Amino acid sequence: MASAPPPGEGAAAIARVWDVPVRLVHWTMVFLFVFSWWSVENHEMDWHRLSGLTLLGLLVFRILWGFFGGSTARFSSFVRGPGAVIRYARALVGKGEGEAYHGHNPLGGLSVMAMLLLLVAQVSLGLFAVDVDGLESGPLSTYVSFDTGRAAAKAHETIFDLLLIVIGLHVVAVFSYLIVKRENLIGAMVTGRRRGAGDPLRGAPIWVFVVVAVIAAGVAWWLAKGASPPFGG
Amino acid sequence: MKTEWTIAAIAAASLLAVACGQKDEATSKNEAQAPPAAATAAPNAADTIKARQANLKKLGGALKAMTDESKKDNADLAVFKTQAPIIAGLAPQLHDWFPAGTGAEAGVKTAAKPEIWAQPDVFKQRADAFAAAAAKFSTTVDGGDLAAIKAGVAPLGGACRECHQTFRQRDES
Repeated sequence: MASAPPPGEGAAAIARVWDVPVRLVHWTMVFLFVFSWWSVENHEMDWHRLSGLTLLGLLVFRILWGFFGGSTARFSSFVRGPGAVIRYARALVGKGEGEAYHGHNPLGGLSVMAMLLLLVAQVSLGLFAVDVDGLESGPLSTYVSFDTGRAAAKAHETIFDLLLIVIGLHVVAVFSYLIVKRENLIGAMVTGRRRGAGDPLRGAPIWVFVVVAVIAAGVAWWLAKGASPPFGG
Repeated sequence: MKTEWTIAAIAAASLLAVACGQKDEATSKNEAQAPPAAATAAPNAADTIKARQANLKKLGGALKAMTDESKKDNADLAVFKTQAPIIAGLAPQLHDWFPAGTGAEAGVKTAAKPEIWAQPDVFKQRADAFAAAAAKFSTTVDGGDLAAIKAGVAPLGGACRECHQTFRQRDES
């Protein structure tokens, strides 16, 4: 592992990089993001709520997985300080030595965090959002006034625009890797394998997955039902 | 290698520019309509718009209160008895909140679309339909049958939506 070849050296072996939950969550989120967009544009608000609440469950899962999941899924493995980000960015444009990363590189980690934070903000606002007719609303909107619910709905639209920008950059970056560096990150997110450089994936036990999945589903269900006190409420 | 990365950077930047450009276009369209007519609009057009928005918020607030209540298993009849008259009282006036000159040309931020004045017959018809729906719902509330009242909230809100879809700009307050 310590003697992993630098990136771009063809001799590197194919090694596991993303565990199944990371890949499943990633592609389900892609689908639900698009589906949420489609459903709200077509006034399919029951579907929109279901989509958002499922996305919320996935986010809870992904955040917990960032602490207890496979090695490359953990925040501790890819959230870096500005120094590492700048060093990596400089190496990308051919200035200075670049370090090899098997999982998220420092720049990619930054984009993952930006997307996760925006998505958390987005689903949270959706819980309280109220439409202009006072007719359609998120499951927690009963706790807020019409004005507050409207403000949440407007912020929900603003965050959506920000999400489009950040996701757009993510997609451009991934395709740049494909076209410029001849590195297929999309395939890696499908198969979970990639030409090795740096530490390969160390998976998490299945029972951790089960516990985290149950917690995530429970939280989403509880919020969907209006967040009433869980016991005897 | 360097050139290729420059291309990638340009692609990313232009994507950003497109995303922002769409916004700018939308806002500048509104602004473009505003200045020339602002001088000719009646001086109280802004007040009319403000009052109209306050009234529409009352309608939305009342409907939200009833939507919330109708989701509860043990809904409280008193909530409907309080909120339904707010809507029934305001609904017949709604059509008069939109005198000519109180659209975007008034220079105040409004979501009222020019269609209101371009299609006055359709607008009147929708406003009347809303007033009728509000009156009908009031009768239901007076009847005191909670199941019927709960079922009546969505159709009443549907009358709001019906009108908003044609006559209200989506991304404005």
